[in-house]
Amino acid sequence: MLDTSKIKLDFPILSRQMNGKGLVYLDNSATSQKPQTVITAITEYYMNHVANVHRGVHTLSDESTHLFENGKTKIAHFFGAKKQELIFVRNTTEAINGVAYGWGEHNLVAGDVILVTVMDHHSNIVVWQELAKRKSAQLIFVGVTDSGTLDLIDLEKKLEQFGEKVKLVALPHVSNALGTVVPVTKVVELVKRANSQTRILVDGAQSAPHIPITFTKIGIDFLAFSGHKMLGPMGIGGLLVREELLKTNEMQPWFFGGGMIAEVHESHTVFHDDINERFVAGTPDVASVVGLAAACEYLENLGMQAVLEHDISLVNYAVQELAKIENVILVGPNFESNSLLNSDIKNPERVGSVSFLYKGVHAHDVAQVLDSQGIAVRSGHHCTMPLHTSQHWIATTRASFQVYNSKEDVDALVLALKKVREVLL
Amino acid sequence: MYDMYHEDLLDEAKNPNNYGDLVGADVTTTQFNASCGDVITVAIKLSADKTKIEEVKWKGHGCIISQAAMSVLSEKIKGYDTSKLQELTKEQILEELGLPQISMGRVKCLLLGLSAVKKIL
Repeated sequence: MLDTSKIKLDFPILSRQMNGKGLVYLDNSATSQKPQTVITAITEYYMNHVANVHRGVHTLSDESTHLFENGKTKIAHFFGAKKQELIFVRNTTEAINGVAYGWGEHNLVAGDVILVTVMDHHSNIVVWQELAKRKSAQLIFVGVTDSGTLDLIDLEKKLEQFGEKVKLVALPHVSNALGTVVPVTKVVELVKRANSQTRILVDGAQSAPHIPITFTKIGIDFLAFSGHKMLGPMGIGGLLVREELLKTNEMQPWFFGGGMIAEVHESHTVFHDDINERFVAGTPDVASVVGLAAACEYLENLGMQAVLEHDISLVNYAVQELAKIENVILVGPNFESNSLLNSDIKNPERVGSVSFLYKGVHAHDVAQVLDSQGIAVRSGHHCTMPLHTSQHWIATTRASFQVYNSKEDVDALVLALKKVREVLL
Repeated sequence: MYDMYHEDLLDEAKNPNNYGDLVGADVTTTQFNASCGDVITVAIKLSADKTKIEEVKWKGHGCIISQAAMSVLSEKIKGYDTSKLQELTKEQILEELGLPQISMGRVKCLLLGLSAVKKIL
């Protein structure tokens, strides 16, 4: 386990009192808190280094450009990607939209198939529904098993059924509603065996904060992530695109304007040769890039392997303790049948969060009572309405973790959940 | 923090007024809460001249706030002028429930039933 007593001190907000109690923040899948180093990096940029990048010849512009470029290098390195493979966006949702507009518009024709999963976040469903409408393509859902894992047999069946028509498989790395880890390596193997030309997009919003990722080695084509869920600022995220797709123009810019161009004529425009420049239309959010780079540095200093192990310990502990509470029904993978299942550090089954139903009490009411005890959790369908509908859940309550959370935070949750019964039943 | 889940509120949600089916309803409307999947369906019988609400029944599932709010609302609008429905406010429902305030995240819960009722117009 990480030394959370020290780590908590790095996050100013965690010293706040909430409803008369010390804040226990367990809504990290929605957004994480920010360490002082990130806040300072952003403030420092705005106090001392602001100038537009790439265009000015003056010293300040040079400083700002260096900070932007170094930040980009650091963030790409964090994900094991080449610098030119990283395109900055606002968040995961915008990254997925980028694939739809920059790749889907140019590579899909009527009758093509996009495969997504029932456990996908709305952002990895609605974007494809809309693209499918525009291109007269088909959007097909791969199911989940009763224990909340991806149904690999169903995936294989659908890959075989639709064959070469499957142009894209879009799926989460970690489910935001269940914490389920999708075995990406296995998925890549199945997809590429069925058709080596099928592209794979991984929604990394919930994995980037917890799992070490080496983009160039996983064999996927696109990875989308949000900075704000991994200790970085809101408003900055990334789309990683396999270099070959950029070099061959299979993936094209979807925003246009200044900065990304080589020549502009009244009749036409030639885009920048340098891939690093081709996808940056307009002034980038330099401060947020600097802030996200500081967040990556913070996580790297802890070590992503240690971060993952810490998370798995918390998830295991939460599953074990929540299962003991009368009226609490855990959803998603749990480890009753094999207590060692989630301790496999290379192939964890569940990461980041634990969701549950509370017999006889609506999730919003559970969350409201927890809030009165200073505990912040999420309730609702967590932007996964198809999953909730398929499982006949109205709404679930989710506790999700970050590097600053401790077993004591889980204990506080358990204690407060006992209060739910006192207050409401 | 004020004691939000006071006994009357819990009782209102557990034993709601006017819950059930309405045979021969003139208008039926349904409202979903997109953030959690809660739903309320309201059935209304109008006076012969269509200006007054004569009977109200409702069904649905949701949190304590949405259920209690619909319960008090269903009592309030019996005999109500349909022309005045649009004037019903969040504050009136809070008052009926004995709540001084509600957080932004629960406003949709509070107004789920009212949104269904306003759709009958």
